[in-house]
Amino acid sequence: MVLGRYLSLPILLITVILQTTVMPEFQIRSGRADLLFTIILSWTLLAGAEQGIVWALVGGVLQDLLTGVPLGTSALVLVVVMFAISSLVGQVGRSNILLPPLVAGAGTAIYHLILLVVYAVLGRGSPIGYSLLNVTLPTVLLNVILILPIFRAMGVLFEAIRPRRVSL
Amino acid sequence: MRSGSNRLIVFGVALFICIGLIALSASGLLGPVQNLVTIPVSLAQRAISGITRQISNTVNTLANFQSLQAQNEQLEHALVSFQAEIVELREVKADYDRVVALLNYKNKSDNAGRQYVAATVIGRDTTGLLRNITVDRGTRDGLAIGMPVVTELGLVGRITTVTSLSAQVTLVIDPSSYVNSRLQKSRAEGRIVGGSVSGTASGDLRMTFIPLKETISDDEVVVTSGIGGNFPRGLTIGQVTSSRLDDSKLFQEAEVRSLIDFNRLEIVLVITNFEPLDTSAFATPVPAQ
Repeated sequence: MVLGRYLSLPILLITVILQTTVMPEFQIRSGRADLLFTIILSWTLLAGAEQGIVWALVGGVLQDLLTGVPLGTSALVLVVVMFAISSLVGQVGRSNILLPPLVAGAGTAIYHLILLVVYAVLGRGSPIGYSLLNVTLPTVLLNVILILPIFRAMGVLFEAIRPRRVSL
Repeated sequence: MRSGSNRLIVFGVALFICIGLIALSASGLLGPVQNLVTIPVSLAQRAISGITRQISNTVNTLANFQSLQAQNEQLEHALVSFQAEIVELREVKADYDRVVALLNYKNKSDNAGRQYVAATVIGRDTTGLLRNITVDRGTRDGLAIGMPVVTELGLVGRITTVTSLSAQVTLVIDPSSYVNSRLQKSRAEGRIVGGSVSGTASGDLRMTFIPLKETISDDEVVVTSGIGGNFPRGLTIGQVTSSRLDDSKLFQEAEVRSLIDFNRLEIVLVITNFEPLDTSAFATPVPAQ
């Protein structure tokens, strides 16, 4: 599963670029579908905590590089959220279609709440009520929808690179 | 157990890295590294963003097709209405300009003492054989036969028929019209007759019976002479464009161009305090048969 760690860089790099260019087009109010979050979450659910944390770290750092927030901020929050999710839920089979949307919804809400706190600490806070209503809520909705195809696609990738037992 | 401790170790290391990155980033030490990574990624971002925007615009245009169609119809209706309004306002402005020009003419010191009635042209000769116009003023407004009709550009003609509400004006360009005139600079006298060589109604006239000894220069202004008592003296008729000997070789004649476009007359002024002289008393009596 070492391949999974190396795959994280190109996949997440492309994801972050798409997240900052294409995803703003899919917007409800000020909320937009979070492709990066759903990909990292999917991988965390499929491959477990260790790989999920690595993907969260890499994805978060790349996101910070492109969004101008202090480097490591998003990474820190993503790492914490992915660790918490994997601790609570554990690994999920790729055929499971119920749990990923539920986790995506709850995870997005927690992710945003922690981000709001972190941004407030860094002096870039925004009104909590407005942000939850206009950003977090639509993002939760969009992520719940987005996780379905993303989890499916990541499941195929996970299956493709997973080491298999061979009989000698 | 091993998996759980591994997970914790990875988590701890990741946290450490994150906090370290935040600290280094806040201190500005990571600036060069950040630039190194950001620049190529930004280029890719820019390219993808451009493509995305184009696709998005196309999709939006397609999605908004129906509303755009409705909006287009609304705008077309609005445009038609505005165009009609513009036409109306242009007409008002044109009328205003004409009235201002006529008012300026009326207030000129040369015209002091003259009384005018403004009249709107309401009809023209439709056959093209006559050069007449009909105006919307009549005896009720003080108009009478023989009164001169002018605009700020010069003499138009004289009233030949009048009713209580309207009047017919025979234009100076009518073939039957003649006006005793004078060249303003050389003071040479002659007679302006309608129906020029070209025969159009645009404003071509002929000044005839100009004595041979007179020197006529082009662009000389022709005015009414007042001789004969049909018109007050000093009304502008037009400008000389060319001159030559007439057919009899006894006189000169000149082509005169009026500044008035008689096909586009809309508002005119009737000089109401001018009464043409009745010269019939001087006519040679016809012997009884």
